[in-house]
Amino acid sequence: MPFAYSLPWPPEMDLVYIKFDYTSGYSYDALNIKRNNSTDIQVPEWYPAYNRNEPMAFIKSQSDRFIQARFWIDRTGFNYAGIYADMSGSGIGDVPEQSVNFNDTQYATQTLECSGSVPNSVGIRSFSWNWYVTYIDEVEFEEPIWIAESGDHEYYTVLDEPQSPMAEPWTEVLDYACDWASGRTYRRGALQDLTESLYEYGVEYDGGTHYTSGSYTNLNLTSLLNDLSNPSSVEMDCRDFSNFLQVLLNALGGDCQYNRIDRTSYPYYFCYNYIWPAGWGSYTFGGCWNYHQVGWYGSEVADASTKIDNDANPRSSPFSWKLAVGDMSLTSYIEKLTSDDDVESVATGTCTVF
Amino acid sequence: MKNKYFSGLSMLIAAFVMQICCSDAGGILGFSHSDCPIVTFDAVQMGQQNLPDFNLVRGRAQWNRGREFVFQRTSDQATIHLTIGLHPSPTDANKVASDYLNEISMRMMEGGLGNTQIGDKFWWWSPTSDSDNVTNILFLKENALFILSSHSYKNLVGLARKIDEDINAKAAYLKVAESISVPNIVSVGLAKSSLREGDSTKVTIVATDPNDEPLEYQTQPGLVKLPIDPDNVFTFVATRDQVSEPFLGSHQVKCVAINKSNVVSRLAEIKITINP
Repeated sequence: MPFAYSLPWPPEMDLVYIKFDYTSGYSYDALNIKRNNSTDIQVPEWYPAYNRNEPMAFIKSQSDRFIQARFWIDRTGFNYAGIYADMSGSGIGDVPEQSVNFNDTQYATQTLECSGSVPNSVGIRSFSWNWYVTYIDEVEFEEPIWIAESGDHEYYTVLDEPQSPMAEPWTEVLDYACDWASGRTYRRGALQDLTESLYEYGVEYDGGTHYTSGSYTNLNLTSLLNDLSNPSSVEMDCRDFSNFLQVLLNALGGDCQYNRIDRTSYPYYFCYNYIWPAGWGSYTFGGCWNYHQVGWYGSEVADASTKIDNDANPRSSPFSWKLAVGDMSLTSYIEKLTSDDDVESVATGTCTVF
Repeated sequence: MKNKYFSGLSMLIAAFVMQICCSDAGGILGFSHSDCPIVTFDAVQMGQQNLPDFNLVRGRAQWNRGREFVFQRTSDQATIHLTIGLHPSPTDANKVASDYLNEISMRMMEGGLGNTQIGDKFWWWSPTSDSDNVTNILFLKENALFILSSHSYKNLVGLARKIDEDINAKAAYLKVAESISVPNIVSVGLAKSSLREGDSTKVTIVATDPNDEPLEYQTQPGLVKLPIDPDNVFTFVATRDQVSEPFLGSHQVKCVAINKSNVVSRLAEIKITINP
């Protein structure tokens, strides 16, 4: 005797994964980022079956980002389903209802357009999506049926296309850059925050060689980031400070460089006026340097390694301590830093990292 | 033949004299152990002996200078950075010191700290240029290079002098011998020597250590270290984030190996070309 059997209705559905960075560029999707020099961010970034939830990064104010999502349905026999997602938190927008094509299979991978904009300021934020199905083939449900929640999706917001040496930013760098410059909407403001935060972080200026070696520009960023978990154990020279500042701002889309200054006449070294180096308990005067290296942004100096005495007489008290945060011309900066002659820029450029 | 014989005899005598000089018996005969290389230096033991209230935070190879050890005192976070490198010869150590002094931003002064003498040769720096507030010292002792820095520990000169005295007294944390056997870089292999932008290649350093100690490797410029790679394998990635300008053309990669006793090899070099 035949047995009448009908499968449950509606069919069960699930969200398998989400890719946020699924193209090589960033015109439609998230930026290419990596965790550090040796570890990539895995894509799909959100893949619960593998217990994976990786962060991503977007440029501020970008609208209508695309993602790629893969869905599962418990049986074949259906061609399409209407799916949307509501966002909670601070994110890149809702996913308006779009048709997902199963084509008589159990899996559908679909590019979906979000409706909304990335926040317009630097930050580390997160959001989640609740996913619903509204119809399967021609059958429209009276109420949308919840199929999954995804998230929390954590993401970094940067200001513009990241620049070398952070053309592909490291999340270990973005953790600092997006925290320190949080809320900033333009690069000069971000540079100010980054310079001040780095100066105050607790690392100590020292004129030896610690993280930049061999040339003036090859920064051991991997070791520096490892050591920063214990900032009071870290000594950085002016090259380390200027190169790290460059790394931080350029990860956010700035175009900071280093500028090395030197005395171009005999005796080819110079002695500083009153300065207050990072991490030192007090100011000092009269030490001598073979050169000094600072951050260089839009023809202005940013120097997280030391404050200078910015009053009319930087060789005596009282003091007017000033941290150059991308708001001093090189000439003004050098005038306060040293009273020696012929101290000037000898090289500008971009550092490399490893 | 005569010259060869003479040369061999001289070497025998020299070795005999050196053995007397470097051995404990040398002291009885009134010799110092001058000209005898330092062949091991245990920075951890040195710290336990001379910095008992400090903890070792980390130790890491610092290019061909040697290995940097960071000591920190819990009570006030006072921190001392000490780099120690044992080089094949005093000439090698002197060359490394000279490169360092030419590279750094602070202008270190040679000698001239009153009556203080540290090692065979020393340099110092003070933030005020006077000798009362020394924060950085570099000294050479035979084949050994020492670089000390601290802005929070007030007796850096004392520590440097103590290490120097410990070497003279052959403290238990170091060893002086007739000769030094250094790690030797046998070859540096490249999977590909010619790349295009975006390509990468493996750099494999093959080195031996006469004392069979584990080796730590460094390259300059620094290369990518993938977690899956053995200690002696690096990856050169031809991207502008990692390769200096001029990007296109030939790039020299230098390699060094350092053993557990802080003995540093001589450098080895290879060339990698990035084509348009």
